[in-house]
Order: sequence, then C-alpha cells, then structure tokens
Amino acid sequence: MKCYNCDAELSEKDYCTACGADVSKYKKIIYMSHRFYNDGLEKANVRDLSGAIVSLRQSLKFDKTNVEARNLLGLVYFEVGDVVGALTEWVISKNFRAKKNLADDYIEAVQSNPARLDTINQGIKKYNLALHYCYQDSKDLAVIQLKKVVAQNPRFLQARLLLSLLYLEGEQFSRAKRELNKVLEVDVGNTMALSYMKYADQMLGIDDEETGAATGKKKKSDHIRAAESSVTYTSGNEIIIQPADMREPRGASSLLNILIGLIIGVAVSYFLLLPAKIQSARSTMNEELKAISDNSDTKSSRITELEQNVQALQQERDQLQAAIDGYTGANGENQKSDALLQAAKDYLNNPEDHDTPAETIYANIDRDFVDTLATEAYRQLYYKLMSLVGPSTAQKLYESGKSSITQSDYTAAVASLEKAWYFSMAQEEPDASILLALGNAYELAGQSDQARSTYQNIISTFPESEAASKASAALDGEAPTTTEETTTQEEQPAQQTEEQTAAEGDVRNMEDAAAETTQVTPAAE
Amino acid sequence: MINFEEELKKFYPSLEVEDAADAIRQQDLSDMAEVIVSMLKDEKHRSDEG
Repeated sequence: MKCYNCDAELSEKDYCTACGADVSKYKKIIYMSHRFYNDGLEKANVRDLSGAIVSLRQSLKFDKTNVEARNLLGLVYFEVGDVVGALTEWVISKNFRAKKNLADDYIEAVQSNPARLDTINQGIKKYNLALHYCYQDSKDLAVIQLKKVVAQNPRFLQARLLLSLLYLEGEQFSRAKRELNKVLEVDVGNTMALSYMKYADQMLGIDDEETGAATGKKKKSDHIRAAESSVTYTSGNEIIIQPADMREPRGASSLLNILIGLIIGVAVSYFLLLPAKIQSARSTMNEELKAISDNSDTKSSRITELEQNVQALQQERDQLQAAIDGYTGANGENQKSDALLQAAKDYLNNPEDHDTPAETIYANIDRDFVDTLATEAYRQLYYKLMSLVGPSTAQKLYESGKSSITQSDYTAAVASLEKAWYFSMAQEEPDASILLALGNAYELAGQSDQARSTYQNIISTFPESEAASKASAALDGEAPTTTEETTTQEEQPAQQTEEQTAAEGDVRNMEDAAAETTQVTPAAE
Repeated sequence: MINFEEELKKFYPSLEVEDAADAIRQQDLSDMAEVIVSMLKDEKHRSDEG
C-alpha cells in the first residue's frame, strides 16, 4: 500500500513515514476494499456469481484501483455472458496497471477469436431485439429470438432469465424451470432465478410453504421426506421423479421373475394361441378336403360320362360292324346284292320257273334290310322281282301250308305259311287269309304268343276284312278257322294270270334295274 | 404472483461490443478512497491556512 500523498510505501503506522500524512482513514478504506474483494472471491468460488458481483463492485467503490477485484469482476461478467462488461472492467484495470496485469491475457483471449466474439455480439443484438419485442407485447417473437440466443451463447444468463420470464407469463412452468435450472447451474445465487423458480414451483404445486402453518409444516416435512426419498431429473420437457430407494431386483428374485414370466408366456401360448392355431389348421385341412372331394366328384362324374360314351360308341360300333357283316361275305362279296342279282338272272333265264328265284330271295334277303338300308334301285328291283314270282310262290306255299295243317303237320305248316306270307307281304295287296292261316298254324302248333301276335297284326292291318273278324274271334277263344273260308278259288287264277302278264311286260325293265343295282351296290355297302 | 410488466423493467438492453468504448468512457470511477483523500487534503489545507 502506498501513501496517497507522496506515493511512498506505508508501514503499519497510521501516518506516512515519508511525508507524515495521516493515513489511518485511508488505510481503513483500502482494507474495506480488500475485504469485499475477498468476499467476492469466496462467492465466485462457490458460483454465487450475483453475490460476487455485488461484493466486487462494493470493493471497487472503496478502491477503484483494486486491479484484482476489477479483473475478477470482469471474469464474473464474462461468465454470466456480459462480454462488454467484462471487456470494460479489463480495459479499465489495464489503465490502472499497464504492466503485469492479468487483464492483458483476458483481453487477448477474447480478441484472438473474432468469430466467437462476433457470435456473442450477434447474441447480444438478438437479446436486445427480443427485449424490444417484449415491450411491444410480441412475446412469441421474443421467445423465438431468445431461443436462438441461448443456443448460440448458453451462458448468457440475462437471456435465459428473460426467456424463463416469458415462459412463466405463458404458464409454461416446466420450460421456465428448465431454463432457471440452467441459470442456477452457472449462478447459484441468482436472486431473480430463485424468485422465478419459487413462483414456478408454486404454480406446479411442488412447494406449499405458503399454506397454513400447521398443515404447511406437515406438508413441508412430507415434501422434504419425499424429496429426500426421491431422485428428480429432467428429460426433455418432462421432470421425472424416481423413488431413491427403488432398486432393480437382482439374483434369485430376478431368476424367479424370469421363470414366472416364462411360465405365463407358455400358459398364454397353450391356452390362447395354440387353440387358435389348431382351429386354423383344422379349417385349412377341411377346406382342402372339401376341395379334394369336389374334385373327386367332378372326376367321377366325368369318368361315368366317358364310360357311357364308350358304351354308346361300342354299341354303335357293333351295329355298324353287324351292318358291314350283313353287307359283306366271308370273301368280301355282297351277299344280298348277289342274291338279288342271282334271283333276277334265274328268272330271266327261265321266266316259268318261279321257285328257284323265290328260294334264293327268301334265303338271302329280308324285308327289313330292303325297307331300311337298301338303295332305291335295289328296292325297286326287289319289289319288281317279288311282283313277278311272289304271287304264284305265295299261293303255292299257302296251299302247301293248308295241306300240312290237314295232315296235322303244324311245324311244316308254320314254315310254309311263314314263307307264303313273306312273298304275299311284298305285294301291293297282301293276302290276309295267308296271315290268318299262319295264325291258325301257330295256334295249332302250340305257339300261342305268336298266334296272338299274328291275329292282332291282322286286326290292325286289315281291319275291314273278313280275316280280321275271324282273327278277332280266334282271340276271343273260338276254334281255329280253316283257311279255305278266307280265299275263294276263283280269284286266285285270275290274279295269277294278271301277274304273269305284268311280269312278261316288265322283263326288259327288270334287266335295266338289275344293271343299275349292280352299279349301286358299293354305295349300299 | 409475478407481474410481468414489473419484472420486465428489471431487464436492460445489453451493451454491444461496439459500445464498449463509450461504456468505458462513461464509467463512474469515483471511489471512497478518492473522497477520503480529498477530504484529508482539504482538512490539511485548512489547518495549514489556519
């Protein structure tokens, strides 16, 4: 310490040993400055920066030349984000002590990083703008600006305090508390932050100190106990309070819990999941079985249909084969055509002989074939030939049949009369008496079914004839009628003569028809 | 209950870096020591005259 009058070093005396000036009061002032500096230093050490600022300012009020106090005040200002304040103190400090001053280092540190200084300056400008917004009642814009400021310079406590104030005004108490906590991390004795924190706690219902005394104490003690028995931390915007004595189960209890969990899992799987799985599998299987069954039914019906087709085709093939066999002989010749041609040839060779062609025709040609399958030329030739040889042959056989009946040879009678009816049937006017005689022969021969059928044929074919009434009587159980009653002897020669005359006139026509039949035969096959 | 308007009055615009020089010049650097020295000098001056 130096004398204010002569600048000499002072001793422990209350006066200057050099000039004799009274320095007792001066010394007290300087000592007070030092005391406040020490107080400020202690507060700064425990991060009570607000208290440190007060003490250091007080120290400088007593002695503005206290460089240590001023440098420390600059540091505290810098710590709370007031860079201009810090620079101001350091520059003044440097003015009081130009050399060996820590302020030099501080100023150099700040000025050596212009980008950082510019960022800080931008933050200051935004803070001022936000404050301006607040005065204009544009709180939302102010909040936006202040968020940017604290993002750029997290230690700018004034910005955080203003932001927390805006949050409190907007009743966002949790956010305000978060900002205030960050302020208090830097400056634990910040009066404004503590005041705001208390208000936020009140609004959140955390601190009930202002309630009634008795209940207040109880609640406070409960709160303290709760605070002591819990751990509080902030995650994002949420404040999480976790019991302090909560411990994770360990060892055997953990194993037991895992075991219980596994058992519950298996039980759930068995009672809930497994039945559902089984049901699902069953339904799937049933659907598959149904599909297979449907497919099988479809195939079965298809097989049945195909079998029926095969059977029908087989029958058709047999019929066609039979028809082919009927057309062709063993050596491939057409038997029916040949027979007809042979009969025609025999007749042409000897027109008087009716028996030979008639026998050939009867032996080889049936009426069904002629009426259904034969060609038109074949049919015409057949009927022409039958008209030539048929009447006489029929009459002859009719007589033979009657003779056989007379002789009680009914089998021969049936054979003769069947043959006679074959030839008579091919005529334009068949002789019903032949058919009646055939019925009688059947009846006499004991072939009652055929006899009945023959009688019914007579009734239906010749309903107005006398033979029909006789056939009807025979069906009614009367005795068989003799054939002599059905045909008169006078009619037969006349009929035979007419037929022979017609046959002679048609010989040439028949030759033409025979030639045509020979050509048509392959088509008939 | 916090009065926002009243609280807002506690906040002042922060000095920007460009304003540092003016701030230094306007700094009130008077202190107790200076006052005491002045008083002591005045007292001594009066005693010397008397």
